[in-house]
Amino acid sequence: MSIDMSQFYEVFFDESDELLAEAEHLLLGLDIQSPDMEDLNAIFRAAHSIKGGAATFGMMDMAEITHVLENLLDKIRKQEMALTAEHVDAFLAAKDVLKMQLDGHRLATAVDPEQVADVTMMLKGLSEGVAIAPVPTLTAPVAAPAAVVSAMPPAAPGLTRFCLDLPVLNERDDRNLRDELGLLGSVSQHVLADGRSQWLLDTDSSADDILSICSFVIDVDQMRVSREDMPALEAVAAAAQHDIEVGLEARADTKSKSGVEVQEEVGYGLFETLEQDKVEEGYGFFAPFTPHPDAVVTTMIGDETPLPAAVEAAQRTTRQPEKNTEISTQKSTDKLSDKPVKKDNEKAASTAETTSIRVGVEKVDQLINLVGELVITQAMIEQRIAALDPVQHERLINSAGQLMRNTRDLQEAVMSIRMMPMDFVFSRFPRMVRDLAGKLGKKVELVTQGASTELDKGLIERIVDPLTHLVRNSVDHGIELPEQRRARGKSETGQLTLSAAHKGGSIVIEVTDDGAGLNRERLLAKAQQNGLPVSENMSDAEVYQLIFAPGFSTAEAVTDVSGRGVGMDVVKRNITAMNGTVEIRSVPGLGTTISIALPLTLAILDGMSVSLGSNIYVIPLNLIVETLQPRAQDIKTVTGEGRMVHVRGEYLPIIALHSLFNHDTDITDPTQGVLVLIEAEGRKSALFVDGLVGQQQVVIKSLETNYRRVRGISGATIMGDGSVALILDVPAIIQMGQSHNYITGAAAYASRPPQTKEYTQ
Amino acid sequence: MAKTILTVDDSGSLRAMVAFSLKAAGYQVVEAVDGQDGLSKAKEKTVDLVLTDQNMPIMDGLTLIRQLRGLGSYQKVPILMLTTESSDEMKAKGKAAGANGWLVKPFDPKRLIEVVQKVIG
Repeated sequence: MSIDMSQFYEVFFDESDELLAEAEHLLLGLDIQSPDMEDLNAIFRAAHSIKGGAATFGMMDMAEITHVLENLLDKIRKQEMALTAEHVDAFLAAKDVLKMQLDGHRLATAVDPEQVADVTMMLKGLSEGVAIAPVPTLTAPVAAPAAVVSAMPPAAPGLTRFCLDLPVLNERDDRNLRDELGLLGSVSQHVLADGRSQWLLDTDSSADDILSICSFVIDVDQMRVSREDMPALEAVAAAAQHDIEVGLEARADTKSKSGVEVQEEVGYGLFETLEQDKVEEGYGFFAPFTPHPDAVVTTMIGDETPLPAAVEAAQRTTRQPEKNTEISTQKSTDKLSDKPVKKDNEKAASTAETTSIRVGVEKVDQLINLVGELVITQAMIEQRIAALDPVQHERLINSAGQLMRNTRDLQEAVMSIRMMPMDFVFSRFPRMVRDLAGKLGKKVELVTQGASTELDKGLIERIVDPLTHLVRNSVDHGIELPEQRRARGKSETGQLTLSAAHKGGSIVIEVTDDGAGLNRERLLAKAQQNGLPVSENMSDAEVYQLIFAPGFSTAEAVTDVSGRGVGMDVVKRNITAMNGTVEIRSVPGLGTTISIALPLTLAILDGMSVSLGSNIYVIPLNLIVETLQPRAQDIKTVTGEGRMVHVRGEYLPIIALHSLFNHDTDITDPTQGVLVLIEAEGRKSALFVDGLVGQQQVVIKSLETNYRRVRGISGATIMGDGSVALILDVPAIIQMGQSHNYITGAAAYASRPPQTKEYTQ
Repeated sequence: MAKTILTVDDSGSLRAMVAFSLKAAGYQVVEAVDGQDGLSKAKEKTVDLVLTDQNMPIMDGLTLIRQLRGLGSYQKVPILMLTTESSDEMKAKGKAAGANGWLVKPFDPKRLIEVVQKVIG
């Protein structure tokens, strides 16, 4: 029987992709001082699984790297070696190489052999390098140094070995101290599990010399220096020595037990069986094998070769290695109960994936288009039926109501197929931020919130680039260097928060940093220099919007990360193209938040239809704050045609849509019509229309592809009666209203978004 | 009647490969994604042979074997470990837990069927 293994490749690729992403995520979250065992195990398992699959499916390059990786991880998770930052770097590099190899197999992309060799070398070097001696579990932390001492080769004659017990130092201090002590003699260094590090120094200098060198980087009260042959605290050391002996004894004990175990197995025929199967290397049966009664029969009938081991075993009673079983069960129970419940849930969630199917995106899109058409047809039917006599056609009307509900459910269900969690985008940032921060010498902590918030797949893919740009900007320009932060009384580590949340009918994605904030004066000066129209009484939100002007950059230094003045206008354009809006909030010295609001989907819009003369327009519901019929005393004329409405303490400019679009209508007095308060990009306005028609979901049709781009209009839709209604582009309308000379002097009153609230939470 | 084999592995690709090979050889296959899942599937169905990976999240293979041996109905059902670790220590542990044999990964589908046929025909 031959089986085509290539049919499983795709599953393996997907699986490995996921495992790599998960491993990276866990690696980035590792606390190097005290790594979470469960995380280490999960990383190990990821390497292990990829290795197994790669070896099975003949991708030996990947199997090789994962093999080395697995060995190293195994040592760390068994605490035979302490985790260091170099390990994490090497693991991340290995992840990149594996991803490259994976893509090489999958998409036939290029694989850089040099990079592979580098990483292999690095991993091998690490796994052979500094290893702390296994610390017996029974041993108290203080005893660890002595344990290491005994594991080291003795000091050269004439030199004294000093044992230094220090807290783990930061990288720079660590390097400096190593260099300085290196001048005295040969140094070796081990990180211990309890957040301390142990240094061994073979030297002819005195303990005082060592202390005085150490005092440059560390408070001498926090460290201990002892001579190998003369421990500083004899009592403690003696106690420790005792512990070690117990620990070592315990270990020796275990060893001998397992030795006996193996011995017994030989006696019971395990190795006998192995020998018998030697030709067929790679599997074996244990001697006390009591096969299923059926199995023996079938084997005898159906197979020429009898099963000697099985037959032989059937005659024996199954031996119960009680003691061993007890011990191991105990261990595994502990392991299980240690696991946080949260993780179990996550794992359970990943189990659910096994019941999913893969479908091409074009099939889903076709389905969505068809449902869109169905929604329109259903709306048409509804409209026709509304004209019928409700008594005479009661049953038809009931059925139509049912159709409406079913259509809506169907539409929601179909749309949900395209929904993907924001984590899909967020997950790429921890690595990017880490690398960027490293490159720029900054300390940045990335926090993500609402990663499970779902967004349309099309939007997810298109938000990646703008978001990447914003995150880059925040790390590069927003968050200050550690020294600057300290000088400003902030913690050295800047915080960058990525969040996603549903807000009304849209999803709001925010990039927040606690960095320097935007400088209003500098922005205005720069804008003036660039010949942009500015005025001193612009609101902060409006000033901040200036950074979206093409070619606008206030960065003092152009780095290779960002700051060449291209980009923010592209970000803005990308987001606008997705029917989204960008808003900036910033407090000088405290940080900046860039807030992107996107519709949940590109295909369907919750809209409010409004009438204007004989025409119908649709306003996206998520941009409507409220609607009202103003009283005459609330309307104030500022200059010329510029009218303002007073709403709960705010003066908002009135934009008369009929005037803006040159429509004929009988209603020219706002008190006769309706004011729809709209808000976009931090600015509010009151849109004056004839009346409200109704709220409904509309299927967006592009006006651009069918006609041409029209300012103030974002698209079109087909209404229930078959007529075409235009969808208003609210941000553009607000802008047009402003330049239409309706709101002279209004800017000063325009509402300002909350600014301090963001940072006091 | 076709014999039913429970295959427990957290790696979807390996599970798919094992299941496909076994089905092609005429066995019925029940798949489980970790030890715990394996245990509950084993309780739900009557199984003639259990093939389990060792290194899995939530519950590893050795624990699964012990738990299965603790169930009355699984005291005599053959259990094979499919593992990358083929050290004597691992074999000793497997044997102590109650496994009947082992098959080292990576393996060829042909080899798998050969071993399975030796055990349950």
